[in-house]
Amino acid sequence: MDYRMLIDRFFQGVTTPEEEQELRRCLLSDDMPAEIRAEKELLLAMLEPAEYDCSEAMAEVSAMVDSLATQEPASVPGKRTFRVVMLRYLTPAVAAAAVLLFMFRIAPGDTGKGFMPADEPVVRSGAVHESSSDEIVRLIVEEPQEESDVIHLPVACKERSARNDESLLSIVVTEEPSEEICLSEPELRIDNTRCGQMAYVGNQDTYTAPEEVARHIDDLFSMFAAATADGLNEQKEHLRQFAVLNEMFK
Amino acid sequence: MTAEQFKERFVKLYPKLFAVAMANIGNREEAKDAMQSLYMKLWEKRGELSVVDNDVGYCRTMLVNICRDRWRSMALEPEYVSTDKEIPDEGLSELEHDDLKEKIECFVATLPDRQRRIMTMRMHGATTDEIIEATGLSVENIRTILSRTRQVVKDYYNKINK
Repeated sequence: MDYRMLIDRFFQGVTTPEEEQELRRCLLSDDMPAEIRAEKELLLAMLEPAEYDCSEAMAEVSAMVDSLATQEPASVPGKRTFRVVMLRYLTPAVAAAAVLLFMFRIAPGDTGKGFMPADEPVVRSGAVHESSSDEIVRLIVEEPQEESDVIHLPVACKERSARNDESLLSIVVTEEPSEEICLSEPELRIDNTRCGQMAYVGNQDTYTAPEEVARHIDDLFSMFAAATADGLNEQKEHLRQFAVLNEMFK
Repeated sequence: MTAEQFKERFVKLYPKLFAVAMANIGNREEAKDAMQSLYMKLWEKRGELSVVDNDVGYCRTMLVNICRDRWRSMALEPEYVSTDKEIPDEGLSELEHDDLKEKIECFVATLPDRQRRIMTMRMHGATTDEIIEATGLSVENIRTILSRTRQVVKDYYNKINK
């Protein structure tokens, strides 16, 4: 390699980092050409970054972490988000398959904590659907939650142009943000691969304030009640069906 | 994740990540600030770090974004290139360093901000594309800055070695 030319190019500002590393390697080697020896000191000063002792800065960061850790009680979870997901299906048989798949697909979390603990029912409470916003806030805030927990609220839905589909409304409580915990993908896989009758996954929104979740659910319930012929009575019937399903999966 | 677990896993990466910060911001104090921001963010996200399998890559991406934000907040005029540098006669005598490298480093510290940063970024291995991405300067501007900065350092070197 013509190191003289390389040095000229270096001073023209057109060398690449790789060429500069090659130049540095040459300057530090025993076979350095004599004609560039005079510039060795200068070039190395411009090619080698100064060495920094990071120990002090590392100690500062460690102290900062200790300080942050003491500001937050260990029992308080991080910022949680509430993701509202609506999973629809058409018949109880499909529903059973869907719920089973749903459990198997997303139950094992990386942290070892399943989204749905095996000893807990899929449908947590048959009375939730009639709850007020306050009750929903109490449920998702005051009841002990795992880092990644799922609350399912069975509701009935009848869209203008669709059949009287049943729906499963899920609230996912996660640490924020929750890129890894994406329910839409497994649900869509259910849709695409196993249950052709599955309609779609909708109403997937993420909130950080429980009150917003409650408002969203209230809106959904209002929509369902208005869209179904018998409103809440129909929802109760679906709840009863869910209770049966729930018993099956216990 | 406890504080101890966090430190064991992430604080030990500091030296490697600091070099990344230097390559992306070219200023030691600001690199330290960027590192502090990085660790604050990491701590805030500690609940989701269990799924991260490449700690260095994850931190690097986050750190580069922090440095880019800092560049943007500097609001430097992208087309302005300072190319003049009077080699100071006054003050050189104050640089009572025996080591040439330290002398040059002190001299580089007196250069205009952008020249100093770009030279430092390159010394830490930043490619021209990475410098363009960080600074918003054109490739011609970066080459001009690197060329003029290196030349002025060389002039300084020749002057103190007369």
